[in-house]
Amino acid sequence: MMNQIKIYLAIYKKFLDCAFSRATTFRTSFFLIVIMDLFFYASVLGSVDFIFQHVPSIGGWNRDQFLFFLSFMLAIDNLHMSFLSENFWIFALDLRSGVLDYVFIRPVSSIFLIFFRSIRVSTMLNTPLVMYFLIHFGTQAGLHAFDFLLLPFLLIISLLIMVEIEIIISTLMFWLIEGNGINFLRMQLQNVARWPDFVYGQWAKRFFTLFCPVLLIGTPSVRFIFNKADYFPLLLEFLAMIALYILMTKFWFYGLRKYESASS
Amino acid sequence: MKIVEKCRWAVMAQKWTQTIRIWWGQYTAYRINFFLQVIGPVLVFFFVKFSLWTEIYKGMGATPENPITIGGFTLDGMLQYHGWILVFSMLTQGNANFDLSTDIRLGKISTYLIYPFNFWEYHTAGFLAFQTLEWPVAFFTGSVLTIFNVIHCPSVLTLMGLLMLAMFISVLQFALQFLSGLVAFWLEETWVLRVLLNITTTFLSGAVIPLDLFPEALRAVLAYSPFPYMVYYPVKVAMGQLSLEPQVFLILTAWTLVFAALNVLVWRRGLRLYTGAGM
Repeated sequence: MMNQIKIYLAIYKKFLDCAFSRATTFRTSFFLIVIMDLFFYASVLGSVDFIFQHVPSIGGWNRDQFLFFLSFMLAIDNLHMSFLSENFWIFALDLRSGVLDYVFIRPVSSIFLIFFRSIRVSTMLNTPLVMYFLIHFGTQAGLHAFDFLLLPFLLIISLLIMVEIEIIISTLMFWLIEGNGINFLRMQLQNVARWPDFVYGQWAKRFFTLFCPVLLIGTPSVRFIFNKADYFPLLLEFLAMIALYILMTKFWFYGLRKYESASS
Repeated sequence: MKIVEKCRWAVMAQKWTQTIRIWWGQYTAYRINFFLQVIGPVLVFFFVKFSLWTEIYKGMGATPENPITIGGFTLDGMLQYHGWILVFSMLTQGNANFDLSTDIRLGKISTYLIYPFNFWEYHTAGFLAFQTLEWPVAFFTGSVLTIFNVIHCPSVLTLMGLLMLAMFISVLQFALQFLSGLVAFWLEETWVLRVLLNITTTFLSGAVIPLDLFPEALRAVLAYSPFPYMVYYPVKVAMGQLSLEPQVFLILTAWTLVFAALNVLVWRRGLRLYTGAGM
């Protein structure tokens, strides 16, 4: 087991080395991505800030609580964009071009090789800023030291749920020849998840909590931080994380059996 | 002489028609993909905003008897605003950047340099093909929203004016997307510019929240940009809160010409850098 972990860590280190060398090769693209992320953060936080200049609260949350929630989602987004996002697009491309054949013959987990190999260094440059948002709005919203200690743990659970859902959705690409549409679907689900669950009507909330649980990505964690008695959704989030992991691996291997090489 | 001229026009019309057909084939070859990539995002965008604003007004205790206003909008007004944005997004959004930047990066433009149908003509035909697919979807969506009373159909004259305005806006969008695609001569990843353009346009045009809710200073700055004319203004006209002024067409034309001139400049400079390896 330890040997396996060591092998995977060594491979991941190589992925990181490649990412850093690539980032220094295409410098203009590197800085444009940084600027793009900054614009994205400004538009998300700015929109809500402008709304709160006209309304006192939304769904019982005040401006600081809402901005803390958005910062939490932006932090997940930042981690996702840094370590995973690009891989979903490469997967669609590789599936079409037959490059995946070489991935499947390697003696390493195919999920690991496909979804963890490409890392976007430029987005990491914005991580301190996102963390600043999280701490700033968290402090404004009245979070205590213990809440801040919980944050890394809650961020990881939320990120894992998001990744599991996205890998399940991406597995559908084995059936569709053109996978970019699936990637757009993934992005739309991210947009739905970016808002707290109370924003949605009863049926939409049920659908996006039980059937396609994107609303479990951020809301339960933030609710728990604001009110420790509100632990049931967090428990549900934790159980969903385990259930989705099982579903993801089963569905992935089912998808693999349907894979028809584009190069053969 | 007249016959020769007529034949030339007929050949040109046929070239354009055939190219548009090729593009239709490309767009509709993967229908699920087209739906998820083009129509899905605007529908989800509308769904999120519809839910958000309904919750905001509900939270403030708005009822039909007590219609609370935010930035001058009642709940019905706000939903109508976003309903019209959905229709206008479908009428005006383009899809140019991706294909043309791929053509540049993969060296495919060498073929256009010897074809009797050049690079910009080919992609303009693609833009026209895309619009002809999008417009029926927009009309259908507009009809559904009208039936469900989310938006109210304006007078025929206003509607005609709005459709003309939508054409002007879509041409401006195309010029902007073309420009961001041409940067592929210098950049490895042009999707960044496409996304950057999309984020900026969506936010500053009033597609996320109406410009009436923006701070006064920012609104004053935006008045000197093309953004308010791309979403906020046409939607306000559709809602009957602003009248359709002829100078808006002039402003949009002026901005389109600016970006078209930039496109020509960037294309010429980029072509000097271009190497058609292996051709």
